Amino acid sequence: MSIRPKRFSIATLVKHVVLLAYAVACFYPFFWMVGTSLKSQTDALGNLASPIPEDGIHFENYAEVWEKLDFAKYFVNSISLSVVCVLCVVVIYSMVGFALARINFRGKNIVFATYVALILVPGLTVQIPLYINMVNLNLDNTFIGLLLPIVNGAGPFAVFMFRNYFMSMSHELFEAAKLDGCSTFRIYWNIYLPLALPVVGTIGVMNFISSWNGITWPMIILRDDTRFTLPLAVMFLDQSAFKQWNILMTGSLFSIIPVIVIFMCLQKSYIQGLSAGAVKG
Amino acid sequence: MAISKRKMNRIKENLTGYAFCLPGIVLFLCVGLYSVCFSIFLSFYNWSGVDFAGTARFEGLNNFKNFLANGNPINTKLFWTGLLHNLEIGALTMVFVIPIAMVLAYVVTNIKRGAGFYRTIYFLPMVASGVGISYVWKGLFGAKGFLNTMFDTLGLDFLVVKQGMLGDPKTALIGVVVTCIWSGIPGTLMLYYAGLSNIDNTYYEAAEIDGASKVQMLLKITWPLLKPMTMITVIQQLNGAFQMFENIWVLTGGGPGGATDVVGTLIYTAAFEDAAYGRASAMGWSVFLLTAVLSVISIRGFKSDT
Repeated sequence: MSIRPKRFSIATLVKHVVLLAYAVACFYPFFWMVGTSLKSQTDALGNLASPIPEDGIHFENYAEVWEKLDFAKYFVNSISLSVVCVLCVVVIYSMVGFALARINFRGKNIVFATYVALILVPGLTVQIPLYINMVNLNLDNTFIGLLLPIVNGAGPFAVFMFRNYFMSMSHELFEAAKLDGCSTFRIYWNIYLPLALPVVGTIGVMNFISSWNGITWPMIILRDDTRFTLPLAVMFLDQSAFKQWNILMTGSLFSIIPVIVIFMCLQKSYIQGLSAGAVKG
Repeated sequence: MAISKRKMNRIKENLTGYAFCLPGIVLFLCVGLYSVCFSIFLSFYNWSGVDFAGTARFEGLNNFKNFLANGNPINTKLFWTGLLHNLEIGALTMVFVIPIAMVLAYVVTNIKRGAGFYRTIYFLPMVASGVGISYVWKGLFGAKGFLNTMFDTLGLDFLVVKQGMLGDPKTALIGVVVTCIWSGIPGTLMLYYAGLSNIDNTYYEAAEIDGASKVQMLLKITWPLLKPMTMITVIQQLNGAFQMFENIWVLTGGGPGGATDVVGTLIYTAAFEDAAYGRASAMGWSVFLLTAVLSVISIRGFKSDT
């Protein structure tokens, strides 16, 4: 009998085979996307199934999509939408969450109950009057008209997460700061918000991704193609009469890189915040 | 003194609370409340989008009758078929997603090396589940795409779908379900992963001392403690399935021949292509009621069964 712990066992092997198999299933579509984006046009049509370009590597697809098809512009549109959206959601709803968790004001329970109930509201249905509302306010086809409903739609879940997280933090923190003469706003801004970074990460990543990937509301509210977000521009590529898979995949690739980068960087905090907020709920 | 100090403090605290909620509430009043109320209101009216006061006609329950109870046979058929598709997609997705995600989360938490690597790759489908990936599926499922070519090479001719999986009314829904499973696993996996990492190790240690087997621990410790996660997943998937729109719109547009129409695509076409705002709103709220009822039933089910 050996005393050394076993370094390798059949069970470990089986585990890794299972995990790898699923990893391949996750990754293959992305692999195909990148491969196809590097094909020539005829190669992409004739050799659709394989992810390997057979007719040389064509990086010029990237230049064409980025410059000639104006993807640089759509990229800026999308980035500004997502960044502004995340900032608004984090600031506005962490304040509401803080008030609900730490300040005793009349009507607090009504505010919280309303937000929780709103989690269930059907998004697509509400976008009909929302559209009419925006037309009436002269905000259709504008950045503000695009932004406000997205921020508002993110409210219920963000309020729920922030409130739960602030509730779980010790109350003494608040009392001590108060005794030292700290204003309520400073307690929120300098103490509570920095300590809630995991939830900020979760809410931030979540809203960056959803505002980046969303197409329904942009599709409804934007008419002018100079204002299009990246996903809309990709859909536009598909509407040309002749399908150019290489160009379509290059556009698609541009549309997913930012979200992947953001997620990779903030993955840890995302998961932490998610479990902290959800478990205490 | 007219106001006591205590009362002053009370008022001050109230005002601070309102000040903190102000931006959120103003936004909600201008954008959210109006829309929700107007949307409910609209579902009882016939209106084509211009000059509400002048042209809208109160219809009572006619909008609902139109697609629920044969008020218009075509719309009724479309609606119930669409709803059935929602149900099929939701049920099939859940049946695959929950066990796969649970097993994977369990295995990932129980390996010593590489957990971070796997985790990162596993979350890719959730992060990138937008328009771009829908087009990849269109390519992979295409007539000359990856699936057909693979089945052909493997000699599994009977699995080859000539027009591509999404192009044939008989198989299009299966294609949609496959994409939903692929993008649905990561979120659930993450929930189970978080749930598993939160289970206190002492439970297992205590069980081991009492002589419990691995299987017993799984059934008596892990599964019950993961129940909240399963409940969240079921409700999320249910909601997701009934509100499904974007991915189907890009993948098939509800076609071919309505084979993948869901209530979401019907609402969108009714509202933004046919300008039947009343009927579209009525469809939305009918499905909302159904989802709410189903959610309550499933929460009850999970609670009673502990």
